[in-house]
Amino acid sequence: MNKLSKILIIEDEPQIRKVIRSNFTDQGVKVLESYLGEEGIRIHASDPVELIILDIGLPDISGIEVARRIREWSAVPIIILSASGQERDKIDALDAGADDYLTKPFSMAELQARIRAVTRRLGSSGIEQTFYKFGNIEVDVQSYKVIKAGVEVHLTPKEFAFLLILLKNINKIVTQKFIINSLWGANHEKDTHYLRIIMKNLRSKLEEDPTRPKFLITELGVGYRFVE
Amino acid sequence: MTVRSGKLRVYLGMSAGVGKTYSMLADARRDKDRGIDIVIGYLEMHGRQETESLADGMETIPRTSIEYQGRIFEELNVDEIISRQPQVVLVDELAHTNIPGARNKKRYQDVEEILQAGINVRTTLNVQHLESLVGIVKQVSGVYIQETVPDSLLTGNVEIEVVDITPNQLLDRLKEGKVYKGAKAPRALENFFREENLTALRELLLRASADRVESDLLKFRSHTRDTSVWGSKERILVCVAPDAMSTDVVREGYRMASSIKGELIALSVESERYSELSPERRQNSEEALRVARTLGARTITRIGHDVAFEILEVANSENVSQIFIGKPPLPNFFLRRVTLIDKLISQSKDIDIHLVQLAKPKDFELDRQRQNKFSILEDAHSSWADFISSIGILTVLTFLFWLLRDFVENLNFMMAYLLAVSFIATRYNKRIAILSSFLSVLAFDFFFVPPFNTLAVSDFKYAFVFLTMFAVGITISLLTNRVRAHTQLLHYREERTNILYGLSQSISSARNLSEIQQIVKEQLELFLKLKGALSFRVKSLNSVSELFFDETLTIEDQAVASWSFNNSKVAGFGTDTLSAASGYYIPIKFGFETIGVLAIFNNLKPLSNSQSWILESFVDTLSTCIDRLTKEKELRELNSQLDSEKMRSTFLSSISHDLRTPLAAIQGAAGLMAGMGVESISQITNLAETIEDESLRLSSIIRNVLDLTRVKSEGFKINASWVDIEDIIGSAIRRLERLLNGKAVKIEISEELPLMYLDELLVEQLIVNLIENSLKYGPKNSEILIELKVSSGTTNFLELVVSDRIFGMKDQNIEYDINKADDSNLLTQSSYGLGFEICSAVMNAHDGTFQTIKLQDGLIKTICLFPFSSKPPEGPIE
Repeated sequence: MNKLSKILIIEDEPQIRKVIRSNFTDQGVKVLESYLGEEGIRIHASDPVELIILDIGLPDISGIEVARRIREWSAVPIIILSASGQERDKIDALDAGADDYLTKPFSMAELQARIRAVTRRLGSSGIEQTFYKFGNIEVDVQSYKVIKAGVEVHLTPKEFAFLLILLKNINKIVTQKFIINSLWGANHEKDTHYLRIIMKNLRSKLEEDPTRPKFLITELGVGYRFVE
Repeated sequence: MTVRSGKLRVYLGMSAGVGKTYSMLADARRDKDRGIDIVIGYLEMHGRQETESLADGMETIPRTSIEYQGRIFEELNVDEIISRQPQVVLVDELAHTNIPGARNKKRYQDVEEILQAGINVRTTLNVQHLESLVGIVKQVSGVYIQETVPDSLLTGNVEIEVVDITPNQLLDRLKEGKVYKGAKAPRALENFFREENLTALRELLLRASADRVESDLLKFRSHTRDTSVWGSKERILVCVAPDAMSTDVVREGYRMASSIKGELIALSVESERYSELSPERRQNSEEALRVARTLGARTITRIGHDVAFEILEVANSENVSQIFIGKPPLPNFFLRRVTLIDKLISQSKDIDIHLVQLAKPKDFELDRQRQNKFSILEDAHSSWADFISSIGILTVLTFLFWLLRDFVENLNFMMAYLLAVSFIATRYNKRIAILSSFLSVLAFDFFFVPPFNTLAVSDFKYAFVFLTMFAVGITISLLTNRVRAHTQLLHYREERTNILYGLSQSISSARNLSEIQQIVKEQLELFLKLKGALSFRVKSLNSVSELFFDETLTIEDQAVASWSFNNSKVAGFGTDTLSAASGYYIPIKFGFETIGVLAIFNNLKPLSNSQSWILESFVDTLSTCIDRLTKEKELRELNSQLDSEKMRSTFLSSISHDLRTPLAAIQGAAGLMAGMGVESISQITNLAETIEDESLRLSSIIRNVLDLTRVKSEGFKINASWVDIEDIIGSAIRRLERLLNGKAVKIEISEELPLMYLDELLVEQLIVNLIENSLKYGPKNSEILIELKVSSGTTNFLELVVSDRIFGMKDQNIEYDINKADDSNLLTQSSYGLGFEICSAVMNAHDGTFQTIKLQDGLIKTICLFPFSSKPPEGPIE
């Protein structure tokens, strides 16, 4: 994991800010704080940070709006904090450009894990990756080949495309809307059952135990994620 | 009259051009400078410059435009004024009649609405437009005024400003062109603005204002002194007859009533003669009654044969002191009216009888002649067939007698003729009966009295016989006819009563309000051949009353119904308000409240008298019925509220227990940690773990509570989509990984599962709860088994079974049968708490069922059945 040196917390609840702050300062990370969305955007603009932890419910503008405006000019990783029952907001924030989310209450260990995943993905990006290997699975993007335990697995074009989207965003949640839009187009937005069918097939072809997947994880109500 | 909270100020003048609008504006300007919020609602400038310059700089509410017959007319914008809420609004020409299509027929009704909204109104009015003065104005000026304002409008909280100039001054102004521009002026001078006219009108104006001052004074006195001096209120009865003059009698009675501060009652008596009248003439008495109502009178309709008797009966029971009745025009040789008045005078004891001389405006006279002619024609027409058949009877009889004339004595024929006449009288009307008795005398004379075949009589005794025969014939026919008419009337009344009884019976069988709506529709169609639609009041959440409309009402209909409901007045077709509507809307009142509106559609035809009578009584019955059902409904709602209140408290006590346990653990652990030193680091870690575990439990409970309140909240809709249930199970197990702590969860899927239409988050929560439950209550040495299978039958189910299985015992093979399951085996709410609640809520939300069974060794098995019928839409996935 790349060592972080400076992060920003945009969150209006002092208790949560306090816990996160003490957790990071202990590790020698500089923590900037704001309890307002607008102010948070300004802080990042004048003094760019390496990661933003963003609450959805802010007193001035919504976290979704903050994510959207930061994404206009910055690729900084953003992790959203949301309360349970805010599935819609989560999806909107992810579609607006946030990288991941955590549902309150969450533990520091979970937060650390998410941050690790997000920064690792960012570190590996840059050039288009053409070959992936996880466990006993190998994916060769250029020749459209997937090999599991030395045996070639046949995937349909859509299955392959689906897998590729998840791989390109490894460890990151990809929303249902995003996948449907890129595979079938925007007028199929309601046809989420397409995703279920393809995911079911992918799991039975690639996972050891399809009912308890290791790689192809469903984030209920939000989307999918490929976990390394 | 409804309560109005705004104050009305009327600038009253004798005619146009006296400067009413000018005075009103001048006052308004002054008040505006003093800071009163005054706006112009409607102002008619007539191009008068002085007036226009006064209006400069005053705020004007835009008028509303109404298209009528291809032209655009502008009217007062009542809604706009009410929403603007000024302190005072200026509205010119109170007597104005609005264009058809406007909400109200008359401007004064607009003004009433504005007053009710608490806004003060200042307006202008010429004295000749007062309803009660129409007759007099006609007499003195020869002009029949059609735009009238009810006098009751000027009673109560009203200020009157008299704007007075002398007739000469007005004529001068007129000649100077200050009143009418250009070519209009000379014509106006010739027609209306004659000095004698103006003088008369001025007298009326001054007298009206003097009356008013006097009555104010009286009122003042009656407030300050002992009221007993003033005695009880006098009652004045006006009798309405089916002719056009009746409205004059009503106005005359009203003037008397208002000058002595008495109460006015208008009476219409429907005798058997009434049913023979043309509808146009019957309309006259209805119109007179309507005018009476606008003048604030109470109206009574009686059915009876003897008009005088009915009048006196009402007069006595209502304790009336004066009776007003129209003086019959002299050349009316039918004696009925005269005898009526004679009878009234002779039997009225100490009641004063006023005979009102009826003015005959020319147009009315024409109208009347036309009507008379029309009704005669109609009578003749309707009895044509009767006439022929009675002639036929007499002819056949005469022929028969002629054959028998040599065998039977001729006086016997006379008896037979009388029999025939009485037969005719029982069937046909009076006129034909009398004619028949006359004809039979002629026929008897001609054929059977010597000398035969001539009307001449040789024997003088026959003259006496003829006379007797004619007299007896007429008497029989009159008596028989009266009996017949009476029977008919009785029949007619019985029919009304029967219809009413039928209607009331049918609605009393209704069990709820929507049933009433249906029944009203059917029964009105069945009994009255009318289309009806009932809307009733419902209290919405913020306890504002709203109408629940019948589904057949269009948006326009609903607007009229709402108006009628809000104002507690009839509206729609045939009324003064929103008369362009196709229906007639009757507010249904119970006590002081309006609880609904009945809409009647009669293909744009006015209702007949008996229809309105029946409807009136029917609405009364409806009101009690609606009230009863509303009360029942409220009671039911209250009960169910109590039930849910009880449920809520059980629920709260169950979750507060669930919440307290982890909280206590967290509190205890944190307290211990605070008191420890650095040396006991391992203990601190231990306690911190406890805190973390317990807080996880706490957050799971909170999530359950949130889900539960969401599912149970009113109007909750599940957020379903096509999901793979295996996916959900996988996700649930991942969430529980920490809690499971290595405990095995086995998933058995018997076959290919279809995609299900479910709310995945809710179902995930259900599965989490079931697994947690097994963790909590199941034996230590067990694994958790999740089975999924499809059971098909009449309904297809996805069966989800979560159970414990002790290691080593491969298959426990315990048969369960939900129907036969022993009650003691079923886990109930108390032993299950919040988890049970959430499970049953989730299953309910999916129309599914769920049951938990205790097996031997404390093992628990839960079976959830999700019904499904459809498949996801097919589509080009690849």
